[in-house]
Amino acid sequence: MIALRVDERLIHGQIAMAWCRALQIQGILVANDEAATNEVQKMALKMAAPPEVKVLIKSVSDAVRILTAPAAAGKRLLVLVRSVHDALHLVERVGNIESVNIGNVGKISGGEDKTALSSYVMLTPPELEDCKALVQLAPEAFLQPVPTAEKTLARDALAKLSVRTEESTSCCIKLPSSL
Amino acid sequence: MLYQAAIVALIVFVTVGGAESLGLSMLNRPIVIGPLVGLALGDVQSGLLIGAALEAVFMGVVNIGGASSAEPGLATAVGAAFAIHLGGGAAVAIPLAIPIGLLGLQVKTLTYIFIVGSFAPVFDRLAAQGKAKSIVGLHFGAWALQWGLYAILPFVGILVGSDAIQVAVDAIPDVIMHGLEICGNLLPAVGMAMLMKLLWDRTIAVFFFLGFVGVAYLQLPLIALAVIGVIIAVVIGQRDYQASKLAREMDQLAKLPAGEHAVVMAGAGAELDDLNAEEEDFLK
Repeated sequence: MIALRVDERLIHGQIAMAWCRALQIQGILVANDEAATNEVQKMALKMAAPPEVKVLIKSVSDAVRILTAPAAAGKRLLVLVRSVHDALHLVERVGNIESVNIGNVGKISGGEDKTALSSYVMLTPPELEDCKALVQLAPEAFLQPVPTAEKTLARDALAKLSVRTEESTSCCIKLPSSL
Repeated sequence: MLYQAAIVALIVFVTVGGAESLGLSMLNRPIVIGPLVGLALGDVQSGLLIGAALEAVFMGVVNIGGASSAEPGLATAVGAAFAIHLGGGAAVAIPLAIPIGLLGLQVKTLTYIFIVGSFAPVFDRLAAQGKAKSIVGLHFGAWALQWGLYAILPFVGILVGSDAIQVAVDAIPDVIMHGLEICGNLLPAVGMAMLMKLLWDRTIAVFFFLGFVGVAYLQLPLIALAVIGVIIAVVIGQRDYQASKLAREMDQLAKLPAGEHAVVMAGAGAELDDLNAEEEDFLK
């Protein structure tokens, strides 16, 4: 089982305490080009994971290779990416991803011009396009910060957005960069 | 009243603030704060009983990032102070403590955002100038400011709210007060259930049943149960230590016949499905 989650904080409390338990995860694969080359970040990420869960930090292309390896079948893996773009890249190339969860995006990263899909997911215009493409490939992709929180389908959130856009002349909700 | 408000505010500052600066010291738990408030207000026994009752309620409350639920420290300090002042023990403390705990968490989050958060650019500037000492100073300064402001909450609450709470508690009919007492006695089960949600694990579940049998059938007192718990912890600790020693020895043995062996193995893996040793181990 491969569960994919977009989370710009990669491994943190919500992952370690809530998701690993809820999904009975055996290994966390962090697919991020930047983290894969940064030894300090690698060390910090490994420290943040629960002790019984294995952690591997690789570039996005290495992650595709690992996830498509025969040995990956039958493992309960949580794959963490930092952006919707990387998630789309993985969904396009890895066949057997069971769930796609867009958790936390846009609080730390990205530019000024963001659209809020939920209070935890804020996307820039190119990310929004990636998200639409992602929903085409994975229609069940959802937004859910923690397992006990409400689950919203990403396509519903996008649909609501387009309704709102038609209603108002301004194209999106501007968020202050301090958020 | 001024003395009570000041001493409870001081206890909140030292315990809740202290816990933030000392890591997971558990200083801010109800079981610590209850007796402290009791001591300050001259009724240690009530303080201890209220602390234990609230600890049972808040036992499962572990605040992690966005998944926070309540701040038990402020809840206990103010709840216990009112309960001791008005009399009535845990039956008064629990219904008061829960809303105060929810409020406390919100205020705590706000102080992080607006007080500690607003110093972030100053830290950046000092770091750019290489002023390490100023950074340390500001670090503790911001801490004192944050928790000093937080401690105003119980101070004002007790100073101003006492009469209102007194009237409210007096106005509650005995029937309802009794109902609250019963509900208060049920709440530890909720606290325990919240804790189990976090801690439940098939490998340790067996101890849960051991405890249940000890209390329900053998009717062991809590002290005996705690001693049994310590014995189990020590035995498991010794076993883990032996196991890790063994694992280290085996690792060293495996390394002995030169690196050759390991290289051959990793090489074979790579031929099979294009994974290196680290990746193989991850999927093992």
